[in-house]
Amino acid sequence: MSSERIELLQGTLDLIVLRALATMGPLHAYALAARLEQVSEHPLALNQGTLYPALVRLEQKGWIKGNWRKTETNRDAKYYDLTAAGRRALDQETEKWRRLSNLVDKLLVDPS
Amino acid sequence: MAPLRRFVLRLLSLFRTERAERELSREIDAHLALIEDDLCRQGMTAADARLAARRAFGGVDQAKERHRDARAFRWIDDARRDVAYAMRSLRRSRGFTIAAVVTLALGIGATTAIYSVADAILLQPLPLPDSERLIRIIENERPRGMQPITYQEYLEWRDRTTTLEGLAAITFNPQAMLMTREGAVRVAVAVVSTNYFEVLGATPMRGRTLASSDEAFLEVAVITESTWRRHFRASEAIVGSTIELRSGTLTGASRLVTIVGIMPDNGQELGVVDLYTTIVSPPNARPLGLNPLIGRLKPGVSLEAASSEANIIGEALRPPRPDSAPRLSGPRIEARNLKDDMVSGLRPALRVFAAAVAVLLLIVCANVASLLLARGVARRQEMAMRMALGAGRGRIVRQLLTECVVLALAGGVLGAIVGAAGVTLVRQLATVEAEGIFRLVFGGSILPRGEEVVISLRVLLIALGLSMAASIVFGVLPAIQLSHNGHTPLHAGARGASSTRADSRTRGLLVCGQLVMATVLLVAAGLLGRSLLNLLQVEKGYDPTSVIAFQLVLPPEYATLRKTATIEHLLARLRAIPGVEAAGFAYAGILLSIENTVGTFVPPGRELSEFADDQIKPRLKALSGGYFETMSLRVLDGRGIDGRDRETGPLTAVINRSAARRLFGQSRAVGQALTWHPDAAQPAAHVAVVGVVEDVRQVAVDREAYPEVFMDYRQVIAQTARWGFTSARQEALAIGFMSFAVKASTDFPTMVPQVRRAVLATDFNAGIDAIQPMETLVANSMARQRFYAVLLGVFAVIAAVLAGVGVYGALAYAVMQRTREIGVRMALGAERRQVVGMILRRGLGLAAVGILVGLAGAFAGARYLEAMLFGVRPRDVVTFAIVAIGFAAVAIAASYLPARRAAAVDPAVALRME
Repeated sequence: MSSERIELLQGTLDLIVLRALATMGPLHAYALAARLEQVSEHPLALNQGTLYPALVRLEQKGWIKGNWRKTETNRDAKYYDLTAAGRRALDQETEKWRRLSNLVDKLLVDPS
Repeated sequence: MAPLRRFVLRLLSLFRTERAERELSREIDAHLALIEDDLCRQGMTAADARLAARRAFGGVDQAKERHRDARAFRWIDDARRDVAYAMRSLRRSRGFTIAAVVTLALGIGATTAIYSVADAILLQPLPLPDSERLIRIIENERPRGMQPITYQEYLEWRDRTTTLEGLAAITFNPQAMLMTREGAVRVAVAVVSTNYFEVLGATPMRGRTLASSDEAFLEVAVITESTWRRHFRASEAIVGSTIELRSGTLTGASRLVTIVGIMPDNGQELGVVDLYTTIVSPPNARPLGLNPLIGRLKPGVSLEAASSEANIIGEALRPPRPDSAPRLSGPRIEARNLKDDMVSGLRPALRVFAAAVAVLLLIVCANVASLLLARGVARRQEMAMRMALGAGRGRIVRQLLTECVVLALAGGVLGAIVGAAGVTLVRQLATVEAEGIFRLVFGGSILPRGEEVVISLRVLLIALGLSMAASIVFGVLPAIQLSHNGHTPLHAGARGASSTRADSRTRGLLVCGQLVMATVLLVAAGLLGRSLLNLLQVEKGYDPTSVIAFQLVLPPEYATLRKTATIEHLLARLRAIPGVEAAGFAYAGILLSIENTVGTFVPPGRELSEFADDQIKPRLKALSGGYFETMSLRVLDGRGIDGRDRETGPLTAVINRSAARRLFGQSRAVGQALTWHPDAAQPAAHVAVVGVVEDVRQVAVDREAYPEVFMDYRQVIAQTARWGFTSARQEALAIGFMSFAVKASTDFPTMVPQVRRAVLATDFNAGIDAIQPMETLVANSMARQRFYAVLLGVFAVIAAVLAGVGVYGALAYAVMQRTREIGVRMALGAERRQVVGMILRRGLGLAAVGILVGLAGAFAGARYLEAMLFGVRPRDVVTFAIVAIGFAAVAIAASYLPARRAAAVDPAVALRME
């Protein structure tokens, strides 16, 4: 079960969650975790529990908002919506991430 | 924006913990349920699904914890938990907590009180704008025979000065009376130049201050706040109303004065003042009194510049005759910063107190430290266990830190209360309750700027900080020690706390330190106490027991003859009161510190020129018959003034021992005649010496006696009249303050109404000022020494108690530690006696070292107390010996109990103890 567990920085997990919500609409924590596993080639093999600190961070920043709704199977679950501020933040953070990864790529290229 | 929002929410989440936890649990449960559902759909059984769901989720508790960390600030959470745990654990060891908190409170409180007092008096600037520029011009040495400067000279000085932007003059009129509904009341009147308030920058509470436009008017006055409350019932209508002010016998009858303003009490820097009036300015005004000039430096001008200018002006205005020029050890006139001048007298004493309190604080810290160390050792087991269970060293240190901080804070809060109480106590102790004329003599308080003394927050915080630092260091030390040693005493047989050699050495050192410091304090207190005792026992020359003293007040317009008649009638009436043994009259009673030199007394066969320029001329004291008996003055030869010396007979005088020695040397004074030369070119009078009396300490109990010549007041009036003195001056010399003394076997409260009745019956215009038992006056005159002795005594007692408790604690602890060892020894044949001896030896060893080192320290430092002592040398052997023996006894007593407990150990029980 335990393949490589990629250590994810705080910031990147936040970004991923925002993106997922933007694409998929409101999700609850389980759905989020499932979505993440689905999209990545190898399962991220995150403990599902690690989502929680990220969710509370994003909620405190005002980028997502959680409320309790019923799932299709009529279970209670806490769904998270992306807010307007969150959408803006997503753009900004994505931009930052791209710039950072470009920079790191460049630095890692062998000068030959 | 977002980070800020998050920060605020994280803070607020502290208050919503419960709700957040509930919501989180709910969410996680829902999450798990969803996973279960899916797994069930895939075919797992419910039970398997549940387990698998948990596994997929990961650690639930860990998720919750990380959520918590993100939601709030972790360290706040931890801190809260630490504090709760600290309080629980402190509550469990109640004895320790109480001891530590009380000790800390005493230390913090005492330190705060004394340093607040010192801060308010020595450091804080005067409550006047730009007060550092205020100076006072002091005449250090005045040429012989020269009076203080006059008003005219002051005016000239004011014109000539270039370094000062304002120069004011102040003098006091001790004879002034205020006419109130209850009769004449003596008030402390300051007579000032009209620019006085302007120079000081003082602002009134109501109305206005004196202005230069008032120069022409004598009839304006400014009263002080306390006068307003005491005599005018704080009525708002007082400003603008008129009062009747009598200036006493010296400057004439009463006048109506309009009150134009009220000054707050806080500005009364220059002695007790009830009322300010303007200086009367006829051309030859009388002298202004000692050091009356207050000035304000121009901006940028230095004190030295002002000082040298003052010297120049002073010399120009009043050049001394070449033969009477003062011996100059420094400049004749100098300018001093006003605040420094006011407080300089108290500086040495305050330094001593500051040192004493610092020593007390050290003792307190040592006490708390040893308490903490003992506790630390006792909890070693617990801490080792916690470390074994995974607590990091940092965590444990933080926990102990929290405990120490909580302890220190509790001590601090209590200490603040103790400190505030202490400041109040000091102010109370320093206040001298005096009435009437004695308010001027003794002042209102031993402490200059006494009304400004208040607890200082800064000092409190510093004291708190120091205690916290000490607590932290000694509280956390055990934890650090533990991890350094590496060994964890979790093996069997170490359930009780086991102390190492280093521990008992540290404790021993702490106890020794406490003993040293307590010894030093005790020696200091002992010296001051002996000083006080000496003062109390000093041969005053008079006996104040059962004597009542008061000043008679008569309308100044009465003729001299009428006043003398009234005095005689009153004396007769007083003597007629049942219970009265003797009554007498003097122009100024003992302790009133009024001194008059009239002319020169020359013994037979000597020349006037030999005595005319004497620095110490015998003073004249006019009194009536009966005064000697009332005050129990001891007649050494001949007789006292007993009423038979009338104005019609030849002049007679009784001189005191100092005068006899000065004027007659070894030969017998009684029977000889003195020639009395007045100041002016008048014919001398012959005065027969009819008695010699023992010296009386007139001014204060701790000042040397002065040569004095006593004459019947009626003879003084007669002779000064013959010499052509004005009747005002005659009265000033012969009747003065009209002090009466009555010796009665009845107690004071019963006598007072009878005396009042006698006075009224003699003349119903007459009044009484300041009627008090003579013993109260004597006590007031020693108020300063009593203040010092009491204050230092309190510190010393606290220190001794703390040190004694320290010794007891150390030994009791040692016994507890060594119970097993004692059991072994006794099982192996040691007798109880030997065990007791072992413990006692340790206690006495500590005490001996501590006390000896303390005595050495006190020996070295005792000279700093010199200024405050009376009749005791700083290195007084008796005091040192008493302290050494007394404190040793205390240490023995403190060792005795634990030693007894050691002896009571049952070897069987001890051996079985784990």
